[in-house]
Amino acid sequence: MAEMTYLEAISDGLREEMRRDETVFCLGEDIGAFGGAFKVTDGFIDEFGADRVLDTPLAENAIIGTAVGAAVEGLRPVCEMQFADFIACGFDQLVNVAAKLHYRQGTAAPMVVRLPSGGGFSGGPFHSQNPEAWFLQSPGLKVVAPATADDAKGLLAAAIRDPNPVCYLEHKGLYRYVKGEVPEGEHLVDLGKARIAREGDELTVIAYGSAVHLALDAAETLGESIEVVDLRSLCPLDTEAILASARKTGKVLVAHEATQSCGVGAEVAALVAAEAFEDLDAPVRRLTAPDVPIPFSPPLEQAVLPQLDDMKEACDELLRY
Amino acid sequence: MTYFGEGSTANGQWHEAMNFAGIHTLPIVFVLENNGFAYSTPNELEFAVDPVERAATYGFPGVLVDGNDVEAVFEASRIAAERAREGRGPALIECRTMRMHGHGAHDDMSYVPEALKQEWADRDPIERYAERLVAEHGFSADEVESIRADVKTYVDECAQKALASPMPDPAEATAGVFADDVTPLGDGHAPWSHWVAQGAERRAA
Repeated sequence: MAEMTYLEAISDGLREEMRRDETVFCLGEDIGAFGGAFKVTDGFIDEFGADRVLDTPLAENAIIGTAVGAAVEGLRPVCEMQFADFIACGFDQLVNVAAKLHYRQGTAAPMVVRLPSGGGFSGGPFHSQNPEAWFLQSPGLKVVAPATADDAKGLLAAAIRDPNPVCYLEHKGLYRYVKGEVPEGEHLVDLGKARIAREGDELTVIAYGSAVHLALDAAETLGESIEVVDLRSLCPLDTEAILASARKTGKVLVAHEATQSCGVGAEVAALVAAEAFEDLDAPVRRLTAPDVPIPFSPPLEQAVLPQLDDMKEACDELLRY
Repeated sequence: MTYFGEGSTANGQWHEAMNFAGIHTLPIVFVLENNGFAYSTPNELEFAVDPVERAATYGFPGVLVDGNDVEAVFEASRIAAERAREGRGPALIECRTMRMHGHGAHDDMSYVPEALKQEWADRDPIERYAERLVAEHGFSADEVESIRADVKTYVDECAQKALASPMPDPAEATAGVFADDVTPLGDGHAPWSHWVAQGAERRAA
């Protein structure tokens, strides 16, 4: 084990997979000599060469489209969107080509799209989004969102080895904020398996990404018996883990930084209402960003993104229900 | 070789693909079938400059051919494919032609002037090449008719087979969204390796 930041764990997972399998290669904007906008591929070009750390023009459809072609030919491309927001420019190749390829013609497209997402740094409406719900409406894409350094490495390696296109949401706010022990060498975390981040009996907070840390901090501060389920994968969704915890505590809060309508929270709430209704002691609640673009101004952004106090308040309300 | 209609040349992805192919000198032959209309939209509302002219701006040649002349299309393809195999990069071939039916079964092509339809009907590539086989390549009229009959039989058989095939089981509608494993189309050793393998074989032969 080695202590790493979330960012270092992403780099480590990618580097391990590239060392293990010569068909794995990266492509994206400024990822070569510059090492990427966030330095995930820092030094990669020296170890793996420019052919496997491919700098691309600012052309997201070309990046995703090239990856689809490479993937069906037997390679394992890992695309870096410089910011998750930029996937909008590559959307057609992702949702219409990559996602549907296996359903249409039985051709697997094993590829990963890394999506630096999330706000909290005044990045404004084009550099702060959490676009996961876009992909969840697009059958054929798997979607993962690690919250810890351990999962950042293990989920990336598993995503690279998966035979399907996987959207890998890496939260920029966690890059250097989250540190943890990470297994050295090969490390895989199965896609589709949630993690109990904290055990409790009175309330379940179902979260992923940055909201996991808010939930853990709130549970510690409140000192209550709150269970925190870290989804890790949004597709496939670990419905068993969600329902088991909902049945155990009888109270469910779903929390995410992404906007509310038709988001993961809505999906989890519908699942719990349909399958665990008899076990509930309170309505399922959501803590999310409201349905607005992420504002640039720091006080406005802070008002929009869920904060620790919001999490504590939401937990407290459900605990007292 | 990759084929597309002139309608797609107005889309940004077309530019992205051409630009990327030019940057990396990729072994691609882009075959543009310009059939005059993107659904109902005529060329003059699709672009101000013919897309074949754009090839040069991506750093590779573009050539305009009569898309209804079988040998012209073959020759342009041969040159472009050789060029790609030699590592000299992409080429764009624009084949001028006409779509002789609607965009779909629902489409009566009312937007195409009758005179234009007739002009292209007179340039039917199959009829023209049948005549040329006899006039220039030593085929007898009977041989040409025999080829035509063989092809018609084959197409009819395929159509019959398709019509006779069972419709899919509705229970399968949700199957196959995700892959369980990967069977690569190429040999998986390097980007665009499939082409390298194929090209090497062809050169050896």
